[in-house]
Amino acid sequence: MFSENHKITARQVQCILVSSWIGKMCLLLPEFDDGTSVGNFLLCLFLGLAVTIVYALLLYHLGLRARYHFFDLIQEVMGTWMRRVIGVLYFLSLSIELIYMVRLFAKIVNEYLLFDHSLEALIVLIVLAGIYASGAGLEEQGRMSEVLYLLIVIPLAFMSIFAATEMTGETMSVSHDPFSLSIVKGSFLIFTSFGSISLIPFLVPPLKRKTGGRRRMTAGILIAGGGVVLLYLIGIGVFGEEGIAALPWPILTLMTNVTIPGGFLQRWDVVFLAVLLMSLFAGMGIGMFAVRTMAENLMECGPKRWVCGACGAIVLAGAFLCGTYEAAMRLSIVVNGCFLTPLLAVFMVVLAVLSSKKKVRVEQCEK
Amino acid sequence: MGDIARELKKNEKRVEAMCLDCADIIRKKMKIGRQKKVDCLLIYVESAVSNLIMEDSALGKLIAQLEETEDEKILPMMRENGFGIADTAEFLNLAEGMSSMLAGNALLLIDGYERAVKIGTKGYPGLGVSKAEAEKVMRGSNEAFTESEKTNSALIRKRIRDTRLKVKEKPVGQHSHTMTALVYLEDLVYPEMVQKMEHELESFEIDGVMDSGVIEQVTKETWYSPFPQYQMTERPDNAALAILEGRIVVLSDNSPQALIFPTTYHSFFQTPDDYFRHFFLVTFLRLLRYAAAFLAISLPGLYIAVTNFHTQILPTNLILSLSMAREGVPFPGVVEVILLELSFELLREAGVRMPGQIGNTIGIVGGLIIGQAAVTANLVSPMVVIVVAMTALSSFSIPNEEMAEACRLIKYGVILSSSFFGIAGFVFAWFLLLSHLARLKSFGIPYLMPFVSDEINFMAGWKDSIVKFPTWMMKRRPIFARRQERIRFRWKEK
Amino acid sequence: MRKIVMLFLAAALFLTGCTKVELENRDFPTAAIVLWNEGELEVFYAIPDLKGEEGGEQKEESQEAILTTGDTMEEIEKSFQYQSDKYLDMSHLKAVVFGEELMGQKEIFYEVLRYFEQNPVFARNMLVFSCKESEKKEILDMALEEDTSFGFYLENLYKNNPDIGKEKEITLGDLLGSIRKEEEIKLPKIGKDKIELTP
Repeated sequence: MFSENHKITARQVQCILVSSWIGKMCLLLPEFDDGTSVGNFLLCLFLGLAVTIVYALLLYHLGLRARYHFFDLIQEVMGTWMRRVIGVLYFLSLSIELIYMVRLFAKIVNEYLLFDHSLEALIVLIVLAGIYASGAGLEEQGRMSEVLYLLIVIPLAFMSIFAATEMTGETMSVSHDPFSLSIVKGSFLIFTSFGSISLIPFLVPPLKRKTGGRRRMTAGILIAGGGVVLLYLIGIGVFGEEGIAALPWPILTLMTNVTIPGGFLQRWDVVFLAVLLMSLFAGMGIGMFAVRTMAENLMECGPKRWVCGACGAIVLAGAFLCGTYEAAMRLSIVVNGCFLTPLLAVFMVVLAVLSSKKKVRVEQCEK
Repeated sequence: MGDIARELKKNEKRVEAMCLDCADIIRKKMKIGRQKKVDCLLIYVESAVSNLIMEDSALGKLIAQLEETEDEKILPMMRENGFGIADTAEFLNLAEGMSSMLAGNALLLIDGYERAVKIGTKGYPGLGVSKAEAEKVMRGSNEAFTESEKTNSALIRKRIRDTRLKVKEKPVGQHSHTMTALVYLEDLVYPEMVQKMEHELESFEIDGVMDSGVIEQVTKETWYSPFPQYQMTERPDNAALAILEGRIVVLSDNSPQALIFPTTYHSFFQTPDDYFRHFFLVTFLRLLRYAAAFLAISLPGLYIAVTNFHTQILPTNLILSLSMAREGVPFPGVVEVILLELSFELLREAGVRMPGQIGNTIGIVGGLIIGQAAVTANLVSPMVVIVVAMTALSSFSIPNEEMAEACRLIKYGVILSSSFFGIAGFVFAWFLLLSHLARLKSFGIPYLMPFVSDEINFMAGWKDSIVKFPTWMMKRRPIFARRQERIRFRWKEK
Repeated sequence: MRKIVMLFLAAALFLTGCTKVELENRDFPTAAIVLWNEGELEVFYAIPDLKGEEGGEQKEESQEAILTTGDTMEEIEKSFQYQSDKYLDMSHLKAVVFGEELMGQKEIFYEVLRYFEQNPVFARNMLVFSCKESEKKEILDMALEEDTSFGFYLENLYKNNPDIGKEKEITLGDLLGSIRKEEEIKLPKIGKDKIELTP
């Protein structure tokens, strides 16, 4: 019946994007506010989001052209070797992103929740969660994300509202510097932080109904990115420009301020962090599933259970080899941000051009 | 076994061979007909046919009629069913006839007649239609299923008086030949689901089926999952409601519980009286049930996470009280919680197994006295007793006992995870749990419907989910019913 | 596959080291008084000391003020931990009182503030007060005299006083914000005779 029809809905695509991104975005994006004024950083955020949406639309169109699987389209248009090359790029890019996410999880939990706890144990924990979640099929990933979507978005929305009540008008002034290359650099970094956007063309062919897919995908990007922008603005209202720049995790510190009437709980930052952790787990699950799919494609084999474990082992090894969170972030920014993501983007543009030409040729032949 | 012979002696020999040392199977030789020249053999299980009521039963009346009929007219009348017996069937094969006899009927073999005649009797002794004990409701019928598959299908037929209600019977079990019936509405159900279940029932050989639970365990898709993949009910109204939604009910002889499939996680939080009461109240109750399920799984784990790792969450006064209460307790918090939880499970099991009044007393003695004594002796802190008690109450608030058992089992995983990793471990446990639930399916329907993938049914499932809409707004059937048959309510034009 | 997952889980569990501390083995300071004395930091932690029930009678709540000195707050925290048989759980700190001389030592004072700001254990809505180092003894006596813990006492001064209310509270966040904006901020003063909530 339809639970095994390898199809997902547009709403599930939106849920996948939001639930897997929002945790990482809340923690990662303020890291890029480094030395630049808040006004410029906000500009970077908006520009980065805009570029991401444009790129996502391109990828969506590419996905529409694939009948069953995106790799089939690549093979058809660019040949077997290019399919393998692009597959390797995808595999590396996603693995590096997962390594970063693993280190991020371990660092956040160690600093905010479990002081003196073993980092290695935390790394193993999230990798295990990813291995387990990746064992399921695409429909199960979609269902999982649909359930997590409300569990993540609703508490975040509530806590944002309460955090907003702590804002003061005096701290809301935002300064900006003249336009410079740093804005371009910042926008690019924000664009690359949406790294798994490159999975969009794989999510389009299994869509049960293509109508509404573009809208849902854009909504997913806007909710994830927009949510972070909103929280950042609230942070400026609470801490001020200098204050937010001095904090390592401003959005987490924001929640230590939140007091909800009733006095039932004294601190809400732990609850907020629990919600973000759920999003990190979700991102890990989807990411590992994608890595597994890429690996199976490269090996040209069907779904195999041991591939989940092997991909998990690779991510685990990578996370241990990195040693620190800072090293993982540098790896993600330098390798993914400066090399793999732009390279993939170039390939996608080339694929779009070549497939358009092929489509025109086919239509002319038919005439 | 071959065809039934015309000569009674040959049939008698075969029957004697089959029923050797079966003291409870009566083989009664009689002479019928006015001239008393026609031999016949009546075979029946002793307790299924009582001598006291034989005169008033169809069997008794048939025997009496046979004794009054001319000898030469007996066979022609048997062939034409001229005696007008209602519940009767004829068998060409002796094995089939014996099987029918073992199901609680009487079998009549007549000399010169090449068929065995089954005459329906009252059947095996069993409990009659009684009150539902395990599934109590505030409003609606109180009838419960019995241990007879025939009576149970009649109880459903009483509520759905439609020839499209089909009852497909099949014996299961090599030795028990337990009669199992699939009951469904032909126009609503997906035929492939019926076929799949029939295939499942034919796909295994087993000694005997003593309860529908055996069928459930053998045909479960994800065998290692603690979550029930069939809904079990003892209520005919619940079964009828499920059939009207396009689901299939499995009835089994000797079992007062019916199995319903396909099922979803949400099915276990619905009760029949939800459809007989105001939607607002039902919404509140369903929210309460879901909250209870969450607490039943999470409360002990959360308590451990908060008190051992994240004390900043709770108000300082409360933390200081908890700290004071734990003074002198020799065990770590985790051990305390696990010990009390296991003690509670022991009490619960003892209460269920002990007969009647003693079972109730065990609950009171265990809960009040032993709990109080443990606190006074400083073996456990009072807060843990409260946490465990709240957890227990929450699990009892879940309408379905099997779902409650699953929640009770999962809770230990959450406790262990939280004890090692605090709130991160708690979130990890819930992530694994949700991931597992997202994978479960019941005959092709995702287990988490209608919370997932409900666009397929135009979000109709959401109108009968945690929030319940008024009956007149629930126009579409749930996803179980065939796509073309989803409309179940419409207003008539005035 | 399942065996591998179990192996990993077992490894994760063993790697944790089980460093959690039970509730009854923790001290929860509710207030800290941070002073500058003879070239080093002097910190008093006001800790409620609940004895618990014995034979059905509840013993009185008392307080103790632990004095520790050091060059930095991290050193002081470690030093306190070495002396105490209980784990110092700072997550319930409600108020910090800074000495005026300490506030005059800008660099040291900013270091102290950075310690409170960067450590996620401390809430940014902790109340802040000031006092004179010379009145240390009287302030400590006042702190120990109160029926409730000093931190609760200071918190309740705002909470239960409708004329003053929560809006007049000056928190760690307010203090940090003012310093960053290089604005003057007057902290409520704790004197030997009285507490001035509205500076």
